[in-house]
Amino acid sequence: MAQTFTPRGHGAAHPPTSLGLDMRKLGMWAFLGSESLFFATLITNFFVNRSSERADYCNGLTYADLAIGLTSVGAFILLMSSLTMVLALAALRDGNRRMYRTWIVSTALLGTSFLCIQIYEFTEFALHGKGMSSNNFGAAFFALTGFHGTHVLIGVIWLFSLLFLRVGHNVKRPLEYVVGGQAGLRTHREPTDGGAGIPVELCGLYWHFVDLVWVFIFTLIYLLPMDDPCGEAHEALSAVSHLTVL
Amino acid sequence: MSAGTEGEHTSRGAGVSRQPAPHHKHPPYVTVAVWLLIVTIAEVIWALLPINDLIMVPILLIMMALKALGVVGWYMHLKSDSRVFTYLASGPFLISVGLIIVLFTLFGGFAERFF
Repeated sequence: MAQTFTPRGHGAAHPPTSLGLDMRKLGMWAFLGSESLFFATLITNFFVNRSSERADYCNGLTYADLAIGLTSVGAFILLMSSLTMVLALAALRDGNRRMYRTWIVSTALLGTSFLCIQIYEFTEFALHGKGMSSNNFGAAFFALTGFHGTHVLIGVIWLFSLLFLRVGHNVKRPLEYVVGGQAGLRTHREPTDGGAGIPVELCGLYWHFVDLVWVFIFTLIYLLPMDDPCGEAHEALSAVSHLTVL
Repeated sequence: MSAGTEGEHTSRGAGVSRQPAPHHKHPPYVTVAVWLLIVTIAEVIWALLPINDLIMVPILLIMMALKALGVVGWYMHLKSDSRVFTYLASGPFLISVGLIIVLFTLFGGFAERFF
């Protein structure tokens, strides 16, 4: 008869569910599901409110002001941070703590870089009098990107906190658990680190979700074409001109 | 699942043993990253081209969906993890899409101009 078990450490304190899955992961996925509804509402808010009255729109933040070049760099940085995050988890599962710490620090630094870009972008807008209250477009834009930026900030703090936690210290080397006397027989496709990497995996799920949201924001807000009631030739020309910001 | 510790598991678990694994085989994370990067560059170039919105928008949305699938499938491990997580993720996502469509219709977003 196949037997299952819960490893020591975090796993012992959080027994798996009747589905054979770690309840912390289930909880994180449920949380991310609720977060996706949050962001869906904000994205809708942006699309509904992005068209203000012409005079109001043209005096405030406009689509032409968005720095596509700079934001593309931000998108690239977030994508790379997702790679370093997943490499950190892989290193932990391999028992390579040195590389794990290196990748975690890299992820946190990439996240910080993204935040710096966003702060720079927001500051530039504010200095030109195109803040959140300038028009509906500005309000919806700052609400959405600011909410996402807050998530990135929380993620960066979480990542740095992992360095001070004794995460995965019981993973000395990669372990393969053999259940029921037959190699490879497991109740579900969970990692074979005995659950020690779960705190890192949870942080990773959150971080990838933040990256995923940016995938949507980048395309829907920055790249999708928009009518230009101010008569500015903003599409290709302004996008290229904003590359000079770099 | 029984809630025994690792020590219990190795000492008195009948038919259950622990042994070192040769080495974990990880998904091709770097390859996925390269593809995500290529699609992102293609997205930006495509958005800059003077193309009719009716062609531009669907292609941009498809590229966005490809990137999202790459992140969710490989980096969030939905491709290899339990199906339960896939259901947990896709349920709220479908509700989100419905929410966007309903609110967009309600507030006249489609009437204004989308494509």
